[in-house]
Amino acid sequence: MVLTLLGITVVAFLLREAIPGDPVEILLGKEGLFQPSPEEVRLFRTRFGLDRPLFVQYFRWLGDVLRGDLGRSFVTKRPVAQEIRERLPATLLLALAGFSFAVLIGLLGGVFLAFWSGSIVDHLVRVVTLLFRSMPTFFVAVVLITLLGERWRVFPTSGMGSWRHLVLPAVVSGSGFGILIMRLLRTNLLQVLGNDYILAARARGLSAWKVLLKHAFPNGFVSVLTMFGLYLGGILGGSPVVETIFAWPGAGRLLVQAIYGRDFPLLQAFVLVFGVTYVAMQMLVDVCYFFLNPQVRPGKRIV
Amino acid sequence: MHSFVHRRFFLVVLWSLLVFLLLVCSALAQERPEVIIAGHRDLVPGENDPYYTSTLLHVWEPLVTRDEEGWPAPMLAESWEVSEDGRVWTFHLRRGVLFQDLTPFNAEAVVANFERYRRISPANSPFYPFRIHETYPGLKEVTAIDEYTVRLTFEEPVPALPFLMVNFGSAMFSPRNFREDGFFNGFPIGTGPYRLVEHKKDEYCRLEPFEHYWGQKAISPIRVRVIPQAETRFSALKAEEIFGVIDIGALTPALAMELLKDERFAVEVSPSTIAHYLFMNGSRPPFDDVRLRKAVSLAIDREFIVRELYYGYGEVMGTILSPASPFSVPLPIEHDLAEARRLAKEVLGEKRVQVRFIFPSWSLERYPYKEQAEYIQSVLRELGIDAQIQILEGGAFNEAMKAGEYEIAMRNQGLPNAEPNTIFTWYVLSDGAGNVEYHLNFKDQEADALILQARREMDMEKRFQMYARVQEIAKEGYHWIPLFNNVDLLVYNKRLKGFRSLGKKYDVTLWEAYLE
Repeated sequence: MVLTLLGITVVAFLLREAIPGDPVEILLGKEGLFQPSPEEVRLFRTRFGLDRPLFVQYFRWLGDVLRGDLGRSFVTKRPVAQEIRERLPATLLLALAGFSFAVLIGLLGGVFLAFWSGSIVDHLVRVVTLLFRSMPTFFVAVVLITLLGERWRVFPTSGMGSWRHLVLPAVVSGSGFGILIMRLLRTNLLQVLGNDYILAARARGLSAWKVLLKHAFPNGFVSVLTMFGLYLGGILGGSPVVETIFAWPGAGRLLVQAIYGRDFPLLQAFVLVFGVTYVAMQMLVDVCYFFLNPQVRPGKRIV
Repeated sequence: MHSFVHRRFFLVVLWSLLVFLLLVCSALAQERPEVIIAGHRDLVPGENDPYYTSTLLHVWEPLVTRDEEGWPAPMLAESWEVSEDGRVWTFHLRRGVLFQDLTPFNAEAVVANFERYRRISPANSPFYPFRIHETYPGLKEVTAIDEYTVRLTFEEPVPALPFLMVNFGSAMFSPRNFREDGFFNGFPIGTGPYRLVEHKKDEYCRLEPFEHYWGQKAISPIRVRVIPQAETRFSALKAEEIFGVIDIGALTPALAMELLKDERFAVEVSPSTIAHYLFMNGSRPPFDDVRLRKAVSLAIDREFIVRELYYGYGEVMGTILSPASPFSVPLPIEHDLAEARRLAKEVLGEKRVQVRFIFPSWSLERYPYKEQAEYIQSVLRELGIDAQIQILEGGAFNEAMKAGEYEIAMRNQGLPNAEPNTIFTWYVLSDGAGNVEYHLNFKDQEADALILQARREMDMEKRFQMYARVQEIAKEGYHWIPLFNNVDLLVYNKRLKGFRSLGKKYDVTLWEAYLE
């Protein structure tokens, strides 16, 4: 665990070496529109400690991080912790809305498709969702904005404010994952429904719905839970594409700005925060697994 | 009976008049609705920026601004004069001006602002970096002569000072608005027609009219939203969530044309200080030969690019200096494919060469650079040059240019101020930073001498002639090939009245804007 976290800090720090372009030149030169003087470049490097050897910079940064100081943004000169903190509520709101939407359509759809497996509805829904999932997020977003925002004016095209502003970005960010859950759950349920204990349950005269929900669902759901972990792990990163298209002021947009502007303190903080969150979420899922799946409990043997 | 009728008629008219007056008064007393517009970036970078807001928002005003033709014009400084040796500049300030905290604007405030300039310089900004040694080279002292007169004394003559001071070069804020390090201790307190009253980073800012403004007062409160994606700005305009767009790259030409098909919309064309160029790597074959560089320039039909890719919105250029500069001279725009073929054959003979043609990915958000590059690639093929187009991320693009790992680079270039010497120093001077770093390899002794002389030339006419000659020489070098000057398309809903572009001022009349 400690090694993983240490690895994350090294990766976060070495990003500046891996990404092409000198951050000082980019920041001061504004994409080549201006010519910073050598004196200015020197001043900037000294001010942000970029003139020191790389390992010295790393250990200084690590020391600051352990003291809770993530550094200051090259661009805004504000503490990066503050920058990220300001953006997180918007990102979390969108992520949770998207996640709720995904879970809703994923679980409901999965169960219904499994129940009506092989019917025309099953085939139709699977084809439509496959098509939907194959479309790029950008395209889906533009289509929804054009139809529901611009033409019929049901929802605002962009921005943040009321619950109505949340609908389109949540649908776009959650639909892909929702469809994934739906298809995975359907497959799992159909597999589980072929087991002997399901046959036994049916033989006891239980209704088809009861068999599906009470006996098949808990087993079919376990691997879907792993997907939840993966999705929630990346939740803080937001969705840069969705946030940019819908002008949603979240962390994803800030991340994109940090990458383009080579704002390394901000970028490093993002990688660190995301990395730690990801590890934490995976641990949380492992704990849930422990309770939901008796097979993974130590000392328990299932015959 | 007759008089009774008359009296009744008189009373009816009187009552009608009273009711009418009441209606008019109540209509006037009603607050104007908020005008919502949008741009692709946040125009309020905040307290650690040298200006806090863009000049477009009119929260602050400079001592010297730019008129609609691009020349320096009075703003908070009503007039100025220079000593014969060019070392002492005296500025006469506008009277009766208040900052938004109701502090009077006077010579003392100007001196405090110059002290601040020293403390914050060099300061980075998304708009223009502030560097006191570039805007005020060799500034010795700033003295308040009387309440409304300020004197700037320099070590060397600075004949072009007002050109350097336009807009971002001389922004004025209340002396009570600064922290110890010179940056802002709260929202900006300028003298402009608008006060910044709310800001949500990367979301929106709200402006309210400043009731004690010295000039024409603003009509409506304004909300400027940040909508990064051009397609979303398009939809927001269509849905009437916003009523206009501002700032550079407000809308791509294709989207603007699409909107103009809808009769609810109109466009204001704002000439930009940004022009598009080809940078030629003159430090290695094949473009170390000026004949081949000239062939490339001759082969390109600039009119075609502007007409077909920018729907006619652009100004083709024969000179390296953007027409936004008052010193730009209209040199002939050459397009001669036969001559281009002849020159290319002279250099290459029958063989074909492969070249790397790069441009930055960020340009795709604002301009149809992919199509533009493909057109240029097609004309180069006719010269025996096979160009391989590579779209590079901004940082990688800059690195490639600096490492000289390119033959042709396409990019835009802005004018940092109204004084062209800055840009000539970068790209035309033999040891100019851009010329050397980007491997343009242009060298001309006459141009070098003219650029250095012009820095001290007091006679405006002579300076104009010098700059004209520099442009002629640079053009013949074909190391930095001009294509066309950009224009910003400020599309707006016709319900938004008073929304006008101010020519080469890079500005719109926000203070006159209101919703019908």
